[in-house]
Amino acid sequence: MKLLTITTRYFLLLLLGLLIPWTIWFYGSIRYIIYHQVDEFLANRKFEITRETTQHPSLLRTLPGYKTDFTWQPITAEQMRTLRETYSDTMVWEPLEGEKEPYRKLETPFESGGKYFKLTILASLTDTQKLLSTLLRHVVTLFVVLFILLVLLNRVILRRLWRPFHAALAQIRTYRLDRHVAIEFEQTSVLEFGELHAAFSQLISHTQQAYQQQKEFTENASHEIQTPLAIARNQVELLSQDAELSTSQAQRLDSIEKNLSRMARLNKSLLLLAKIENNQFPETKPLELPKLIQTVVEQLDEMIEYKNLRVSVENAGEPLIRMNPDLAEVFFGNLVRNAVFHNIPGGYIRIELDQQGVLFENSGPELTEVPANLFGRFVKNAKASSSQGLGLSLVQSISKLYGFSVEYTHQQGTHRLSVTF
Amino acid sequence: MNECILEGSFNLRLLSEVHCCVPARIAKKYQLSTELLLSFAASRSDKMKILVVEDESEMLSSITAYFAKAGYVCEIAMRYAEAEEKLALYQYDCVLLDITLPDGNGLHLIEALRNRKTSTGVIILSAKNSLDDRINGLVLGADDYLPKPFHLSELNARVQALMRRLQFDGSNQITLGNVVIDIAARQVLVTGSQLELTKKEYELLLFFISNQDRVLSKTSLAEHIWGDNSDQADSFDFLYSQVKNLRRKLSEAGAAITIQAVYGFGYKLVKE
Repeated sequence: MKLLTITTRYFLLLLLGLLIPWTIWFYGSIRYIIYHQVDEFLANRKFEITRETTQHPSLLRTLPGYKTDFTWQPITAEQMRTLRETYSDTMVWEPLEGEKEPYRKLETPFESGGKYFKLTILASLTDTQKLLSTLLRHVVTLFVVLFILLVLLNRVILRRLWRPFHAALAQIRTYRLDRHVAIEFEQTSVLEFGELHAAFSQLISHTQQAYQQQKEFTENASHEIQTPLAIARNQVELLSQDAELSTSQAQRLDSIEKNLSRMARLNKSLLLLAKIENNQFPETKPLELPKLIQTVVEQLDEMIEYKNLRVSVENAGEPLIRMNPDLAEVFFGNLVRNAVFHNIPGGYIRIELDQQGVLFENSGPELTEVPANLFGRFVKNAKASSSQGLGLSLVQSISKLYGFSVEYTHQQGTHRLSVTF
Repeated sequence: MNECILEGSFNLRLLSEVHCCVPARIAKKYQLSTELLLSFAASRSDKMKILVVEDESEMLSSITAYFAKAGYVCEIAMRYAEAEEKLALYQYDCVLLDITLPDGNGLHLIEALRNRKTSTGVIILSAKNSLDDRINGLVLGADDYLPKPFHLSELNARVQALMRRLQFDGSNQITLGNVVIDIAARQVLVTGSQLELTKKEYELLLFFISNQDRVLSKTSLAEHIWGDNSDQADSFDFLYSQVKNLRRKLSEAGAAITIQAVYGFGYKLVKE
């Protein structure tokens, strides 16, 4: 949930929690004051009426029984004892309006000329009700306006206040370590955002530095290892030119030379693996797979001929994906090479292309390795002893980078490796 | 003169002063062999002049030893400043350039060289083998790029190919006895008649001819024709069959060159 929504929600809850009791209290107290005043008026009327009728009991006979705000009726002595003075709300039929109107009613017993009466005095509450409802309406209107203002405040003002935060977020979201584009945060007068920007800038510069160092380490490691390897290899080469060399010495040199080459290739592959895992191949191009497969197969033409392999490529559609061209060459090159070199003389290779993926099927010797381990580093088939064992590991790294899935199955000398884009 | 040097009466200081090839202090400092200096001394301006820019002294000495033996005049520079100075003062046919130098980026040397519109060939020798360097180097005007660790025979073949390209505009021939190789047409003629070779056999022959009279290891041959694929078990068997075919074809055509097997180590092309 958005922070903005949460704060708005809390504000509204707080406002409701505060305003509802307040409204009740406000309504109650206004009503109380008004009723108090009406009741006082009724008490005064009672005082006047009882005073007049006590002094002049004849009034009770001459006074008209209607169109006045009070009526009376005789009661028994028994009733006189039990009747208490009560104030109550009542509805009275108003013929003019054609409806019942609210009234305040005072019922009280009184004595006049030795007789007992029940006096009922009425006071109209219509104005009071109108006043109260008007007040209530205004209060509610005020609240609604307050609500709307609050929501607007949150939506507009807070949104504007939070803008630098969202801008920074968007910048960080699109930021890529390997693109070397520095982040410039916009100036803000908000202290917290300023601190956030500073913290982000620091984090980015530290990460960039670490990334750079790692990159440099990879390159330095390469440089440091390649140079002694080159020197050793060149020394072997110079030594091999010596005409005085004996056969056994030449064979030792041969072994040194082969192992140096193996080391050089391992180093190269490990570096490539490290670079792939560090995502150092950011730029991509649309993959032209049939062309690439053709090129790779052509590079191995003589070997294919030498091993007497039948190669068939079935092209049922071209995938629309983007890949780094160098990695694509390593990826498909390794897969084709794998199919060629781990094949039997007179065998076959079938490559099936479609929009979703590629299938490499080839004949080959029975595998001694568990397929799950096939993509691990330094796993190799015992028969191909000089193989570097990193080829399929490279394939695995590249497929991970691009989100391809690679599946391998083998069954009685048929090896199937399928890549799904 | 050669004999007198071989007898040991060779004055290192005098020689280097006369020929201005390798200053005595550098020769001494980096223990350049007398044999090497001999070839410097013997060389005159009609020989190919190569400047090797490399900060690793052992690397430098093996490269110069190999090229001196092949009859090139080698000069060396171990620092950026030194290389810059030499390139400004002298004319070279080819520069072998390690771009990671302690006091500067070798790529700037290529830029400076190309700005002067010289025809000097440039081959970058790099331990980085990073794509950026390769592309930058070639864009700036390097002619080739060879990642370390390389075989000296491979470097030699690249230098020769580059020299042929620069000096003969690509249409050129190599003649060795009765064998003529037409580089532009990718054809081999033995006493005038064409020898049918496969692509790999042709590449092998050219590599052998570039490094004639030298022992080429099986690894360097496999790497030359297979590149990245040379690590596979089959590649040596394949190489063996290719060399066998090439030898048979050459002898059947009556070529005056033969490829000899050298122990278990490799092969060597010799003129009969």
